[in-house]
Amino acid sequence: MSDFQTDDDIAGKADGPVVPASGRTVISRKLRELYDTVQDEGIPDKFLDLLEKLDEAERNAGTSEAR
Amino acid sequence: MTGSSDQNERDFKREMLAALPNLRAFAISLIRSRDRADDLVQDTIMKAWAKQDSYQPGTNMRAWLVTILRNEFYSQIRKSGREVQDTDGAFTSKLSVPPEQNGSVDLQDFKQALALLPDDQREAILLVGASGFAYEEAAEICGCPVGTIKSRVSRARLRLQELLGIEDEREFGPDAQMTAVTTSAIIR
Repeated sequence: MSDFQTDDDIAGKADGPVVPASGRTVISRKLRELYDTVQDEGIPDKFLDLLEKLDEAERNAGTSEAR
Repeated sequence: MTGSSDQNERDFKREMLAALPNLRAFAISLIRSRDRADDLVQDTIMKAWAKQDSYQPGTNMRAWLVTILRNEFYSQIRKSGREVQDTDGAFTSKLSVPPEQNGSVDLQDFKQALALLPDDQREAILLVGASGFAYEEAAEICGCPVGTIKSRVSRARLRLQELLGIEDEREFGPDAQMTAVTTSAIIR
């Protein structure tokens, strides 16, 4: 994914021991997998409802006081 | 006038919706408890909504939301006066079992290893390695120098490698892992 920067930019810059490229790949893959499992769930209804309510409250307030 | 402010509001909501799945993934990965993470996301949505005038449409919504969520997270920790840690020791003992061959790391084991990292290292590796922020963006979100983020990410990687015994030029036998786990048990 182009969204993720390569791990190359840390190699050689950090002081002390650095995890070899192969290990970094495993870690990167797991991190993405972790995110994917959550992101694949989409947005829970309670957040959509909340946004809807906030939106509505604002619209109602907007009619009584000029913004 | 109201027309354009309505438009801004719609854009704001749309950008926020687009950013939510990634924000929630960050929260759940950072905190482990889904309930607490979702509470935090909810607080973040309300905070962000209240200060939407301070958001520049079209700029980095994800970074803006993560910054709010993170501030909220640490202020809640400060208020409660204690580190929020998972108290069950189950995963520590599970990790003491030597993992399988290189490269095949169970996601559950990975989560547990991630939970053993200090908050600042976990958040750094999540922001850079999973949320997809540049080091500079992560530094801005955390309010610290870029070098600090780089060193946190580097330490987080080393620790994860130790805990999981993944791919190694060096030999990571059961002894090395036991040491890592035992050390973390003492710290906790």
